[in-house]
Amino acid sequence: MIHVYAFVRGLDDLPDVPGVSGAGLSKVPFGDVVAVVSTRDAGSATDPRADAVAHGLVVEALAATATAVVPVRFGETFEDDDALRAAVVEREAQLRAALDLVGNCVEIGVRVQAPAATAVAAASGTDYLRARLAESAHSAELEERLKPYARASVKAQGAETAFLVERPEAAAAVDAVRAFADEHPHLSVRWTGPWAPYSFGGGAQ
Amino acid sequence: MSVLEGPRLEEQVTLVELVDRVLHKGVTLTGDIVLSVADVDLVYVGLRVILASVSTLERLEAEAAG
Repeated sequence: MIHVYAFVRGLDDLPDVPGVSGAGLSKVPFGDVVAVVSTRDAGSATDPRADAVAHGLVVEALAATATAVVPVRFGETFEDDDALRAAVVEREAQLRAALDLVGNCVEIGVRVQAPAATAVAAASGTDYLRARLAESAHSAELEERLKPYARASVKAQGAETAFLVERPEAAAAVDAVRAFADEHPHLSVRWTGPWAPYSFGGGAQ
Repeated sequence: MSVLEGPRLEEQVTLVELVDRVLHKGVTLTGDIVLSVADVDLVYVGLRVILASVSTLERLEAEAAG
């Protein structure tokens, strides 16, 4: 079974972190695009909790060293190299474009929530809708504020917006988020990152 | 895991965020993730147990200190 972590460009050495179930990492090249994978026996016992964390840590370790990383969602496994090859060939153009986009970038996730934006917290349906409207206006404002730092942004599930920021700009981008939060003390503004650019792989997200 | 300084996130919370990302984001190749719903639940349940035990531990420590 081959477990795929990410597609990368500009990776000299594999990071010294264990893969899922403690397996060692290896590279499968597709031209200038490289898949980082690990192999384990099919049917061997797994612990999805530990494996999901291991997957994430491998991706972050790759993001720290490669010039471009497109993370693969946890759970992508292939029977053998041929099956992996067949799946990658079909998406090669998409992967190349994604790697072009995310080069030297990290992702910062920002969640903006207005009070009463949850059905439970809202006193009435009108309150709830009002809060949601305010939220979307504030999200638009935040996007405007982060424009100087962000190469791209995408609205993710929930109230989160993911910003693709060049690595050297990450600290400044976070400062801008913090300034935005300070100016809107009534909002809940929560940010996480920098992460590997999970939300900018193109296609199905 | 890289987390910039700021409103400090507890390491365990970061772990949940990390798992959230690997389960819901990132490219899909097959469009058909093998991970079953039960597995996803298991991942979350496991992390909740960790979080619960961390907060219990903190409470016990606070009680011991007080």
